Amino acid sequence: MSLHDAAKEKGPLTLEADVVVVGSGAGGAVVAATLADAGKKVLLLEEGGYVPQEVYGRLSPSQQLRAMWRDAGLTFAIGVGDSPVINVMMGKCVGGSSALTGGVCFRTPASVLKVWREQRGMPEFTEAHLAPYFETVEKVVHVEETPAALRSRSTLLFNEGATKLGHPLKPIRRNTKGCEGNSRCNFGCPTGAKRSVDLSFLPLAFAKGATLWSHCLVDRITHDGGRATGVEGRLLDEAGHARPDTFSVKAKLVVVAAGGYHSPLLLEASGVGRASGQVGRNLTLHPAFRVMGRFDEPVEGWRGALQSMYADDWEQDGITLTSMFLPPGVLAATMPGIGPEHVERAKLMRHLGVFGGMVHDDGGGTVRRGPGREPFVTYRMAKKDKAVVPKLMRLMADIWFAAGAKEVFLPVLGMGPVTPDRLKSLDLESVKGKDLECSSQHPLGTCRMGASKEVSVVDPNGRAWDLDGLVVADGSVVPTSLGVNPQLTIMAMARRIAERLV
Amino acid sequence: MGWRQAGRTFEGGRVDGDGLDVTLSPDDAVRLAGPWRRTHATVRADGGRVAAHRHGPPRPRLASEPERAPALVISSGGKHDAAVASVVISPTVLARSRAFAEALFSTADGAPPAERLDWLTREFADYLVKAGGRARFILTLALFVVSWLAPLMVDEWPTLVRLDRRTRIRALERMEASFLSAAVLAVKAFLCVIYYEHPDVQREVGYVGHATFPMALEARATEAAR
Repeated sequence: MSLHDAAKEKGPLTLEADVVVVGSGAGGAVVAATLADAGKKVLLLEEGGYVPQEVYGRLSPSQQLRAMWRDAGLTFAIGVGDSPVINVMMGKCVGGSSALTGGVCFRTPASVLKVWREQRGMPEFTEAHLAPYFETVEKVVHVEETPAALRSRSTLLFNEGATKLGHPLKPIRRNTKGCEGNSRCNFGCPTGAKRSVDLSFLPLAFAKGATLWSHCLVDRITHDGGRATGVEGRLLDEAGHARPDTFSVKAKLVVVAAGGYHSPLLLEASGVGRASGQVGRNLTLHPAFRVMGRFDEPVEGWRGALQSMYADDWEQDGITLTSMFLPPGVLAATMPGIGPEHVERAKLMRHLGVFGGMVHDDGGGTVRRGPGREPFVTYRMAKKDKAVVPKLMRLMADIWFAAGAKEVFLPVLGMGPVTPDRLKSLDLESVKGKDLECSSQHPLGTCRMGASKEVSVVDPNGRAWDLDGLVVADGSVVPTSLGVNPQLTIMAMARRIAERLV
Repeated sequence: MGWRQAGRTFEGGRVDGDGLDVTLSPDDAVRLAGPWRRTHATVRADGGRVAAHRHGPPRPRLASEPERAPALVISSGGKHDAAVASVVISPTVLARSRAFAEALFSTADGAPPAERLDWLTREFADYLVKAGGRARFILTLALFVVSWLAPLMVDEWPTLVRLDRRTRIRALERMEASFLSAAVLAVKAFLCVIYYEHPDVQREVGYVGHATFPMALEARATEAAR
């Protein structure tokens, strides 16, 4: 039996393994599969529960939020200074956020690798060096170009507008096989076509003898004489509430892959990485903004792949545009107004095209221990990044208008529909950060990798500078913001880290 | 007055909470909850599990008050008994969310059907139960802020639930356009996410896609039948 639910167990629970992996998302699953394949006895611990694809594929978005998202979708980074409050979506389930992404797969951009080599002192990180790791994970999760037939009308319209302005979109690659275009990847694929790690790397790990315990909350890494010896924590009930029952795992190697928010908290709680002063710092989020266009014709943007095309023509400005769509409730929630005004606008959802814009940010976020189990996260948007936002909004609005939209809805709280004439007179540069509607799915960098222990938490191989036998392998080690969706980078880096542990 | 562990069981039927009826299926687990300032609950049937309830006369409802939400948390299939057993959602919170929803989803023809608001309130309560403590705190705080401050926007006093529907709409509109918009938007977002999953609502707004079950299943069944 590979999967165990700790909610059904009584403590204290004592387990032993060669390797204990904390977290079963894009990083942890890849490490577990790699090390299990190398003959190690691997034990994965997951705070969330196991929701099989056959079940989560049938949940409505709000049921998904309740069952699989951290904080039921209410995880925030508090904006500091002229910064927006950012809703940071992340999974708390077996498979982690991987089960809840749009499936978009980009390799680490060459420009980012150049920064890692030249400014972060990690000369090994070239495209050629990383290529084999990318190839391996791309094969397992089945990365493919999204077929043109799956493009939604919303995406096609945006592409029409962008093409008219001289910037045709490019096809996106995703980790899918047999996608039917149900437009709800980020609320769990209904058909299992998205090859998230719960359907790809974890079964591989289980086939090689790895075991996974869900509903296990790791409180600290145990260590002795400068070497990690395992982890200990509490067993949770089915609803995720902590019970008095405890568990401990003894292992020769501890791999932390709890994500950009919780990996630094775990290290800090264990007294690891303090010397660098970098644990929990350097958080980047890729702040994302949606702009919607309203057309006279029905768009029904929910028919087709959630994400199928993108534009990187404004990469030098720190802007990446990617197609997206939203469930009806989320779409309606973005509609200003109360009562009849709101309901009438909600009826426009059939006529809405939706596209997303993401900022390649400089970071400025910090993850600290907060009251309770969840961290207190702040984010100070760099002036340079904030200056990009009005440009992004205007650019996307122009594209929608070029495609024939009658009005657009900008991500500004309380702002009604904007016509082409109104857009010309709007002073978007003066919109305050707190008035921006902003979200993120990409918390990175809080246990960053680097060339020395003075500026980083782990070395270029993911090993903690100040504790032997401890490795971090998730989005938290990514040294800088990527400017593109990070799941493939996280998987490839986890593969690289794991291969060096064999 | 106070809590009393009843530990009863009950099998389907109805729970009356100060004039509000909630129909339960045989698999539902029920908890009566809240500070009981406004709720008098009596269990009529036997079969499910009632964790606790208060005895005492209900406070008379003011004529200006909208119908209150039941002080219940219902979870289908008993799968989340642990959550139900350890989390209490106050009837005040549910009354506030229902009053907000009634205003938010009103059309030119009037308030949404009561059955739909009952469903929404139950789903919202379930959401609050299953959300973490912090998420629950944020949403209940936002509801508290809206409940007390929105009436001030239209020179009314004291709370949103006591305003008539039209005044509530005006109050929330003003607050949404004010510097306090974040509180309104937080509650609005989660009510919308749930409300627009109701099959009747989806039909009304022309949403027939695969993103939301059971609509997707229904659509597929229809397609298959053709």
